[in-house]
Amino acid sequence: MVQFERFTLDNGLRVLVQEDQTTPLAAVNILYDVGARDETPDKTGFAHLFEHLMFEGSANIENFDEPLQRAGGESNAFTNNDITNYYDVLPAANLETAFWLESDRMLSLDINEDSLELQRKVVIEEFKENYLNQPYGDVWHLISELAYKVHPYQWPTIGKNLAHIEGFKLDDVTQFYNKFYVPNNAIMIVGGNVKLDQVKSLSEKWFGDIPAGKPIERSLPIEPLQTSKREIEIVADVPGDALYKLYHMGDRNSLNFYVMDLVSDVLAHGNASILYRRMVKELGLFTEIEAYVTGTTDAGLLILEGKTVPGVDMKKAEKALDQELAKFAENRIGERDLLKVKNKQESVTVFSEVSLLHRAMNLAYYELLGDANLINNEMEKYLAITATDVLEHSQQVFKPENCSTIYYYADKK
Amino acid sequence: MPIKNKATLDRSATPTLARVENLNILQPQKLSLPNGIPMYVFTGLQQDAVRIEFIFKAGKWYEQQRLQSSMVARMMREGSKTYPSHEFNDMLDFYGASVKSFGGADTANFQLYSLNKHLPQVLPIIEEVIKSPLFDARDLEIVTQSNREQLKVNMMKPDYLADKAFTESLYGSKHPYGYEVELADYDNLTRNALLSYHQEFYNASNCTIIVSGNVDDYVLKQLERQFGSANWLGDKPRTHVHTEIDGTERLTRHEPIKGSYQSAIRIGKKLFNKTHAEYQQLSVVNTILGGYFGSRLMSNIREDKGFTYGIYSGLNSMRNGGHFIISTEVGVDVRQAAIDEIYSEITRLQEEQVDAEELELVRNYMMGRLQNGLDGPFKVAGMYKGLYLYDLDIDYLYSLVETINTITPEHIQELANRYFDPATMHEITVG
Repeated sequence: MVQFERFTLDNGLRVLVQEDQTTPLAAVNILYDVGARDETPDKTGFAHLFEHLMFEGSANIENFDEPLQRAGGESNAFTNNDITNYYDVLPAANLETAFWLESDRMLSLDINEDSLELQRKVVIEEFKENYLNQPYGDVWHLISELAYKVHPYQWPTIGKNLAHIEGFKLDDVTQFYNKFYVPNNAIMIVGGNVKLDQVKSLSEKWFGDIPAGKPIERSLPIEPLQTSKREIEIVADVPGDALYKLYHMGDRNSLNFYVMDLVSDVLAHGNASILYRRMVKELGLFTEIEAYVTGTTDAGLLILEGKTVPGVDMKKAEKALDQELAKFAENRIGERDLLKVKNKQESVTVFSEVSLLHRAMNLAYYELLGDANLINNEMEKYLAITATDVLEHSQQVFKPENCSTIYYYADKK
Repeated sequence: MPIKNKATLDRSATPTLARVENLNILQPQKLSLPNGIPMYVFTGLQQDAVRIEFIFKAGKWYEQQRLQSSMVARMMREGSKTYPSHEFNDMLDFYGASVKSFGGADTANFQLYSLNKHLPQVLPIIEEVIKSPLFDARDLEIVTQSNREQLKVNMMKPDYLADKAFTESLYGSKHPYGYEVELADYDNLTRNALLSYHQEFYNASNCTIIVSGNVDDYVLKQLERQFGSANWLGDKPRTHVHTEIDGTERLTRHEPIKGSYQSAIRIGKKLFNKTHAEYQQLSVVNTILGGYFGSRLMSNIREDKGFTYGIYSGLNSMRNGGHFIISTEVGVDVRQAAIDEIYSEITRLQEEQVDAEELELVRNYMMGRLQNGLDGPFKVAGMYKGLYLYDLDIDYLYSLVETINTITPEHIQELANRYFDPATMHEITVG
């Protein structure tokens, strides 16, 4: 049971406090409700580039990391399609330093042409390192583009291409900052060896006078139901053929998400899973096979990904895979198999609560989803899933017309 | 900019800083099972969960043939006679347990993560796989095939190729610390080579157990029951000595890759492991140079020049050796410029003394990191694993604290001169 308290400042900043007197540390996690889905199609990758700029100093602080390191702390951040999340972990005695740093960059970020140019270069190197200079490195671009035609999940967080990153102007920075980096669009978690009263007074002191921004209205296009199967073929300089099958599924708060999350485990988590046993071991068609859900806030994807055994025809391998999926969607799952994935989920939940920082990040995201207490009762949602749920939701998701397929072939030259 | 309305609080002053002066480190409870297996216990976790790690002196160092260590470790997750691969993994999944296993330079490790409540069902399964794994021929074939495919992917990555060329240049491709696996190595691997390796090294007389989490008497009693008997003592493994390091004296090499967007850079040299009298001091020097985000290398090559997404330096320690390495991936067009900047930062460390402000920052940062790295039984147990192997104890960490707090700018400069001479560095670039 993760205990926490919650209060909201007048400017709309939501603060959750998770006391843990067993650690000498404190964690401050600030989630801004903005991600790549809030970008426009002609300016992608900006939310992530902006995350880099948040470390470039603010009105009273020349460099974000330096004072934090001097306080014995460390920070980092990540951006995804939905959110931008910043965190600091430091000795609890120096908690106020994190408040000083985080409030200053929420109030008055200091960005100029030079820092924009610099982080633009860094992000371009990040793009090259992770997406261009890797075998199969472009696959997230292909997946996003093929599965989403309308919703902004059609581009990955890093951005569609280098040209977009090269094109950003200082004006873009200002507009984005003023719109999204406001207290009423943020959730702050303070965890560790801290006291509720202490966090209340520090929050008032450092964040209380930051003006609220205009309420943000988000009206993202809803991805229409896919009614016919999609396919693309890629030939690239990679060592082996790979198959990717993408199925549309529900949003993060839907029952469909919880069911398909369990289904992805039943299908391909580990060597005891259905697909490993059949596709890898018995039929020898794939060298490895994986299934996972993207878990995005808006309607996401269940992705099946497999590398075929050298010499095996990909279409033949796919046919066997389709048959196995059809079989799964037609037959009721055994009670033992269902209990098995629930037990695994319980274990994952317990282990994820060990880390102070993970607890803080989870609380922030759950609060954004609408209920921070999901950290305690999300497990009940998994436990309530029945074999009938699995059957119905699998039939709905594993329909041929709901699938997009990428045939990624090695260039034989 | 600044671009928002002026607020009322005076924000110009930094909040007062408290320094982490001392650490309160969780001490291990040192036990031994009736058969003599040393067992180190770190308890106090709030969650009802445990991690049990079996460590065998069965790393690459002990191999007679390439891949024995890593492949035995890998095949330990493919079950035993009573619980072959599917049943083994199915049972563990059913009880929400998971296992990790890997072969390193000196040790082979097998980790079990389990909730306390399922341990009575899980431990007997683990006992059987540790004492008599199956190494089924078909499973071996599948794992080999998958590893080969993964290796082919790695061989297209500049960072992988650079790491491989770098360690080979330090230790030689015949030395256990020097070789990286080749596709052909898989052709020579037989089931018998795995069985004999397991038989020789996965024994009670060659095992250490580190238990962490919420460890009560019941957990310990179960461990004693499953692993405390003399029925798996085994013979004492052969002694292994590798003196024939055939690494090159000093190597500078560039391997171009057509069409590559980045070059991977590895610069470094052979040094020593953490038992050396100056290792702890040198770890402070390394931190200043490239051991954290605010380091000189990161500040210059990423945050000033924008040549890279990241650059780090580190000291790698093995039971019988160690090395220093700087690694980064940079745009191909700035490869030489980045290399020049790396050497200029080393030279600056040798020619100028670190000023008081920077040193104070690094002291505080290192203390904070250490405190973080020792937060809770799982983390302390992880840290301890890197000590007992060198016959070191928790005292070592207190002496590190002492070093961090007392090292002088003169000493740092002297160490930079003694150990980081650019003329002695290997320099490998790929891409």
